[in-house]
Amino acid sequence: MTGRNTLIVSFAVVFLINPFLIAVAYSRFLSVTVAVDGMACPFCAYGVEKKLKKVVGVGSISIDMESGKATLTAAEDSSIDLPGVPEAIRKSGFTPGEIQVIATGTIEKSDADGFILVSRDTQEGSPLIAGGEIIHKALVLFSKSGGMVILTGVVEIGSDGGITMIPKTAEKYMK
Amino acid sequence: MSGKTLSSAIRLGLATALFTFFGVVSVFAAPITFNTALPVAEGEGIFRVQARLIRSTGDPGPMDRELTVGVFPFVLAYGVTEKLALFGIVPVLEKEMEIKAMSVTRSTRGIGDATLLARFTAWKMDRPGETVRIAPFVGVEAPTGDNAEKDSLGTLPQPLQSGSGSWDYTIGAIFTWQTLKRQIDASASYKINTEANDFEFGNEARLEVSWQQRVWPKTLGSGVPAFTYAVLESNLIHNRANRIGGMEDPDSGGTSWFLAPGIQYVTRRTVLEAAVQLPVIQDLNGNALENDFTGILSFRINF
Repeated sequence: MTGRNTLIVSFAVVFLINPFLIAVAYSRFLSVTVAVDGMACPFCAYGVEKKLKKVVGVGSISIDMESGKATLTAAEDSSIDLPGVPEAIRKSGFTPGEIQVIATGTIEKSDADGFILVSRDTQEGSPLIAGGEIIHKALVLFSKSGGMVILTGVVEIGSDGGITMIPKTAEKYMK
Repeated sequence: MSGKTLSSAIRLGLATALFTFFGVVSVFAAPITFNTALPVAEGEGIFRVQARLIRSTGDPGPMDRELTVGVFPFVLAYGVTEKLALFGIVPVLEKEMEIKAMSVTRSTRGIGDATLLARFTAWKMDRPGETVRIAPFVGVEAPTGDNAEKDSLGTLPQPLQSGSGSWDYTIGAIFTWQTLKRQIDASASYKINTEANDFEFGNEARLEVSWQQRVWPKTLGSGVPAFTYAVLESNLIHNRANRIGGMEDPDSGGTSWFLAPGIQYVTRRTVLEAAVQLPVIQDLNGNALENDFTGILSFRINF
């Protein structure tokens, strides 16, 4: 199977299992799943939930005690303020862990090997680090096509609030 | 009977029995009889109301005294920062001392001394589903309770008053280890009491440990299920003798060790819990009245 075919198949899977992907348009960070290290009782989880609800762009939250993760879904036509997520967890007294996101935007080449995910609304960009050959090929493809894409992956937030994303999948985004 | 004899009899009964049970109360899914190092989210609050019934009938002397105390501590916790939490505690009290040998009952009720406590998380280690924390705390107890109440027999003895009349200070530290299955808390604290109305309660040292084991659900499902914990707490308390007019009261102070089995039902927003604190060892000075049990019922809400 070629890389292009892989993308088409995975797009179909993502499309089928994530119906909200077509319900929220133009958002940059549609969904954020963050590990809340140290959260070990329901009463503490509520404190985390209260702080995360105040993060700009958050529409709904679900917390899973066993995995120790909180999943935030963006409000309609909104983007989750990503730097606000670990800050909210710290303010609730716990430690933020890995942050996984589902993001939309367009892909642009930044330099010889680099890419940027650009928000369609704000034109702000986040550097992308391609973690493998297939995802690299996909980013090249989407940067040439110029269309909206949807990425899943892990993000790193710098001390200056800068966001770097390591995408795991890249699909064509269809409203 | 003389008022002096009566006051002495009451003082003997109350001296240790009462003062033992007003330790710092917690507002978390945590120990029932003392505090924890778990966080209060910045800018958020937790309210707790507790009902404690203290019953003491073990009179080693001839007075055949019985003491019943109802305490309702109202606790408000507020997260100033992620590490600093403030606790305001205001107890409402009702105390009744019956001296059967003299057919006398004296009682009081009202607001007790309010405590302001500051707790700082000095160290923590967070892992998925697990946290370990150490939090020192300091507290001050203000003389907000009435300390000059009278009845038909005159001014009530100082230990029977709602308030102590003195400014008292607490220092201590709490260790907490919490996982999804269990929680262990340990607390060491020391309370320095000062003199008021020519009376000074003896200083108090406490060493307390709590074990909470999740008994339901056995396995966690998705989301945030309610937890039911079985709880066992140990409270080792040493009181120095009280001082009256600068003289040590030989019938006050001593060392007590209590065990408190209990149960907690913890949801996202509320905690409902109950425990019975039972004496294991009471090595009290002189004719200090021994405790039979303390029943505790409490409710907490996250707002």
